[in-house]
Amino acid sequence: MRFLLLLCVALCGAPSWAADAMQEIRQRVGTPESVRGQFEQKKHIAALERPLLSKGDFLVARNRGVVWRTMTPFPQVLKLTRRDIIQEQNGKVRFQLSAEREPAVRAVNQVLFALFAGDFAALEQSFTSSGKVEGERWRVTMQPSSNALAQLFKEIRLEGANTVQRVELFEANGDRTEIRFKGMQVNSVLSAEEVKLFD
Amino acid sequence: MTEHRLFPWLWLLVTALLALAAWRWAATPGAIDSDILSLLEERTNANLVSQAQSRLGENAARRVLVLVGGGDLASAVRAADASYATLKNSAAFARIEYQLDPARAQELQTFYAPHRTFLLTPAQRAALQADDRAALIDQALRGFYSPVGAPGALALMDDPFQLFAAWQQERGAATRVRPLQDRLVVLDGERHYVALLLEIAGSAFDQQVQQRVGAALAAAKQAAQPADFLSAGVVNFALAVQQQAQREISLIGAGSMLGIVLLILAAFHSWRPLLLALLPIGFGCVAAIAVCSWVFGRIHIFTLVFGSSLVGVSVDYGLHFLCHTRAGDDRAQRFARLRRLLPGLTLALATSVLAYLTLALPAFPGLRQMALFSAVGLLAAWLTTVLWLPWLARGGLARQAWLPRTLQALQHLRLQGRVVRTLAVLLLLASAWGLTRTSVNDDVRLLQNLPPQLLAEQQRVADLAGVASPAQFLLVHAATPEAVLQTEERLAVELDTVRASGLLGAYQAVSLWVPSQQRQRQDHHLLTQKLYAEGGWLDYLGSQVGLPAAWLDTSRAAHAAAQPLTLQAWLDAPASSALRHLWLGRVGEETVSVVALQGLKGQAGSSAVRAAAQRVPGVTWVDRAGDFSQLLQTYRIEMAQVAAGAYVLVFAALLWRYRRAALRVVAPTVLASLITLGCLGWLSIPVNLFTVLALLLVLGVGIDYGIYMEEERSDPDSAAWIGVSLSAMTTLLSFGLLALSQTPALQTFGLTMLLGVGLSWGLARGLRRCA
Repeated sequence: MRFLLLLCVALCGAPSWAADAMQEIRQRVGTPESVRGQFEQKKHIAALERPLLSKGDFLVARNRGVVWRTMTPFPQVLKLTRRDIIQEQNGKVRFQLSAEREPAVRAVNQVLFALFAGDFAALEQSFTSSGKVEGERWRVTMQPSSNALAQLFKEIRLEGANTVQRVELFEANGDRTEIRFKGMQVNSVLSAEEVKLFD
Repeated sequence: MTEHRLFPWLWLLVTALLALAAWRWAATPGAIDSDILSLLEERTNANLVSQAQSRLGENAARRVLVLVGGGDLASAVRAADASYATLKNSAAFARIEYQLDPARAQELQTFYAPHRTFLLTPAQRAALQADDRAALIDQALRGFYSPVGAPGALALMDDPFQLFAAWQQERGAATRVRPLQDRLVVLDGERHYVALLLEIAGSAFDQQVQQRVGAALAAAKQAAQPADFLSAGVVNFALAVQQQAQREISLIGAGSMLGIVLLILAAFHSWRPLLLALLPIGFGCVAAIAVCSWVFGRIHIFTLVFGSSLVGVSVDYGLHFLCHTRAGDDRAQRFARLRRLLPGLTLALATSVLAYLTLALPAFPGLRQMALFSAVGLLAAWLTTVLWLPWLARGGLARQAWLPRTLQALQHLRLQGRVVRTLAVLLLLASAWGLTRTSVNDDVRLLQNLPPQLLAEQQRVADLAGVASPAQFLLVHAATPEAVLQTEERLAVELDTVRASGLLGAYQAVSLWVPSQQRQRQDHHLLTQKLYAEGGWLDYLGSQVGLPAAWLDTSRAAHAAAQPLTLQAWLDAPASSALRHLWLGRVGEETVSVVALQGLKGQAGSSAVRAAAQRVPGVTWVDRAGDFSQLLQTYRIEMAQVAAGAYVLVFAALLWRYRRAALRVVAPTVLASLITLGCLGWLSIPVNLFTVLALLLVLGVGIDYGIYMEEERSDPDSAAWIGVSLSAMTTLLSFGLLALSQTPALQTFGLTMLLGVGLSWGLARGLRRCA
């Protein structure tokens, strides 16, 4: 029996099994135009006594960008667009990096866009991924396939059902960030102000 | 005396030796100089600025920056790999910087990070000095709570306030070239370009090197297809100038030769006079090249272009003599004719050489070469005419042929005195009006006409990669290296103000990467006081995010033990390779560095930076193009004075021989020059140094016509007139073709010659009739 099972696995091949799973996961998550919801982020920095907790909400608009709005412990907005990364605090730009001139920023922006939107097709261009489906839920593990991203990430893990519900980023420097999403709305219409956020 | 058999053979021997020297010169690599600036450089020599400039120039001239791509990263890398393979195999380059080993990509961090508590940005320093704790703490917290760290930054715990990350980011702003996937990449929106940094093997102004590099780049461009291939470097310009000059030499040389051949055949109906007329030219060129290469070592390409025009002038002596020989003359008769012509020929040589030699008076090394080249060439041509032609000449003008007949008819053409006078008055009035419209333009860019697509490509590369201007920069000089760095820091404050006004894009300076020891110690002290003190900002941050006490102690100890970055360590490290050329080190008694400028906005930008430089003692503003335009202006004025002086000298020489008639000899040339200037005014062509030079040559050539005509006032068989006409036509042919040159300077020169010589010839006849 065990031999038969092994033979089965050998014949079907593990990679194709994983690829089939990725196919299934891609179908479940789809390619939504927008995703919004709340997040809870736990950042584990090796030397720190306790993880750093933050909460807020976020909005991902396909092909436009991500608005990451932290409410606690202090208000702050992080915007990732095609053009740049901007950090704002109390309506003032505190930090800005151009994605049109900085290849590294561009690469990171694209990964984060795709992560929050669950755009696996885009992610699979820069990561090798393997997936597993268990009933309603699925899990995906990804390793960067390019040096540029390997300098930043060791591994990324995603979990979800119809949407991405949990992301875990293992940074190359040993830090780990765990993000949980709640109250996800898919394909909701963007208000005029929200559209303006990405300009 | 010239009849003695010994002299021609002696002269032949001398010429043979000269030919040997000329041949050896031609076989030397790098014999032809095409650096446009070497024509002008000498006057500014022997000072700090020029020493620094030449050192900077040599370095900069050897570098070529290539960008390959235009699409996504993968296709850009593929195309760049193909280009790299071609370039590597070409042997045209001493060094090619392409694939980065991964360690080098991290260089910025590994080299500077140990000294990070000595390196602050101006904003950080200001915040610390202003005791603005909130600003630094907010920045730190943003880092701690952001989902991912900034790309390329140290781990948060190594740089909790992300001061070093911001410092690195500011350093990176000077160029858009970034390490990515083991390549140097420039990103422009969606377009990726992979950079290759090349250093050519040999000098950018060596013709052979230029051709090797040109061929290698063309092959690499082919290999990169269909991706874009952009290259920028001084060698590209030098190659373009060189190719253009070479094309023009062959065009002008061939055109003028062909014209002369046809003219002589038409006048003599025989090959022999043609060969005889060419003999002085050949001897002249050989002697000129030999003497110039012996005196100057290298001959500038412009000297050769100019020398090819000399062909049209040195043919005159031979032609003049040949027009006077007759079929059936024996040797004694030919020598008798020569004796009769000799005073005129000698005076013509003397005045021409006098006119050409005045070129050597201004301190232009290029002009001195041209003066010597022309004077030697003319003298040798004259000697050949006088010593050899009477021995070799047979026959004479084909008087029944159309050309001599037409010319003769032209001489005897009688116009109504009223018509001539009316025409003359109209011409003079029109010229006077034209003269009032004369404008001047001394821009150095007149010297070279660079292909627009080459300029556009250079500009595109500069925009993409942030290349500093090679023509405008600042020199910082002081007694010690530390003093230089401190001066640069004072200058930086001024330059930042100019940048804030948008007139300057960026600047590169060594002190941005290695601040002075004074500055580093001050910054380190500032951090000790504010961040690392007991109960300081680091402790406060620790309480906010939960930094363990043990980590805080380690961090404090590391800060206290850290050492500042030294200039020598920086100069020795691979990390400084891209910027090391800015440090010129010891020059004479002083230490000198360069502050390079990028994105300077026109004249306003130049003035703003110059003003900024003037506010900091020990800083010199250098504007090569501006300096050279200034030089051209100075020389134009000097040459105009020289030309006036030459007229006086020539007039004195003529007065000595012709007394009152001297005026009649000079008048055609003087009037021709004035009318030419008037025409240029009419045509709105600005006057520059090259117009003045051409007028000086019009003097040299035009006076000869007056002399020949005056020597034979009766001229019963029109020999003098036909001789002058043939001379004028050959001169017009050679200089007229210069007017077709793509180089604005040569074009103006050619046009002025065309008008000046044509008018001198016409007026030499016309005024005689009136008289």
